[in-house]
Amino acid sequence: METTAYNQPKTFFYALRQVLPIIFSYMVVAFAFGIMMQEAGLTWLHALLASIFVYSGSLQIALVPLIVARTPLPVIAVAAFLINSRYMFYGIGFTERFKRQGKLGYPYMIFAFPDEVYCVFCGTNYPRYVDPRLCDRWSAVLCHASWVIGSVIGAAFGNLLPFDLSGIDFAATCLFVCIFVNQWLEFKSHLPMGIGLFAGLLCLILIGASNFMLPALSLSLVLLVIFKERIQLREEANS
Amino acid sequence: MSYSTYAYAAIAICAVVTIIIRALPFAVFGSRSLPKTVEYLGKMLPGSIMVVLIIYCLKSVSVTAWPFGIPEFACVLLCAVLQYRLKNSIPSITIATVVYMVLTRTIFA
Repeated sequence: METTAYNQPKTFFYALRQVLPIIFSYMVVAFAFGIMMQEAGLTWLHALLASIFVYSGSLQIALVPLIVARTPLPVIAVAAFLINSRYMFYGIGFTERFKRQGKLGYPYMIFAFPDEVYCVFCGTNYPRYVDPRLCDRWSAVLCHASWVIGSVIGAAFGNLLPFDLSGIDFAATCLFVCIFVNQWLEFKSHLPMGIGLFAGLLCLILIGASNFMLPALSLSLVLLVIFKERIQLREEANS
Repeated sequence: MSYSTYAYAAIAICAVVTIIIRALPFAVFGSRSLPKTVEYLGKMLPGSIMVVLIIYCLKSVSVTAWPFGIPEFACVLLCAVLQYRLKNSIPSITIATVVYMVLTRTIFA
């Protein structure tokens, strides 16, 4: 069998190394979320359940003030949809890859798929000795675990921290920048990046910071379809 | 409903909404072979999404008031240059993040 060629410990350490920046930034952002929950008069159990089952930094952090304000539940549902609608675009292109995870693994991979994990999975070219199936799974589990652990520690002991870690969440931005650079080097056509820049800035300026993601991603998708022939010609010409 | 129970309900609603959003593309494209256009989008969309995500991270940066987003833009650029030369994300991310934390605590505090 071909699986015998894979090295299990090396696969684990490869996964750990590739998600290490995420683990750091998740621990810190989740920790901050935990502190917010505590200050909102909620317990570590609220933080634990939110981090296990919502597992979305932007939504969880936006949720705390909504809870404090006792926002009606239907309004919270709409806010959740608007904040997280970008996830709809992430699954495109990952159906076959995630199906390989089997009966339990497939739904887990679909669920445990926030921005940073998506970002890492976009940039993976696994070496030969790495089992891609296990590496994907370890990466997803390690990120999820660090998110959950960080938020529980924050909610339980957040007020005891003696030093200031603010700004360390900038690591997430840097992670996106790194993957962007990798894609820049890998893609033959840079039109998809240009489309993202154009759609992102246009919608940010027209619609404002709080709700620009869904329109920006929709516009990107439409423009990619419009420029399909041009982009494909370029990708195939040089490959 | 007590405050605590209400919070659990709010968390549950967020979980359900998020799971539905995440499952949507898999429900639509998961059970059949991918149409050519979707296969193409699966390859190219990440290129656009990554740029939109970077904009998303920087959306609250004010370009009209001091410090005009200088620490953010400088460190994004630093990270990009490091990654371009080193092709190794761990040092690129670590250095850029540390420089950012130092800048926001000193010159731009």
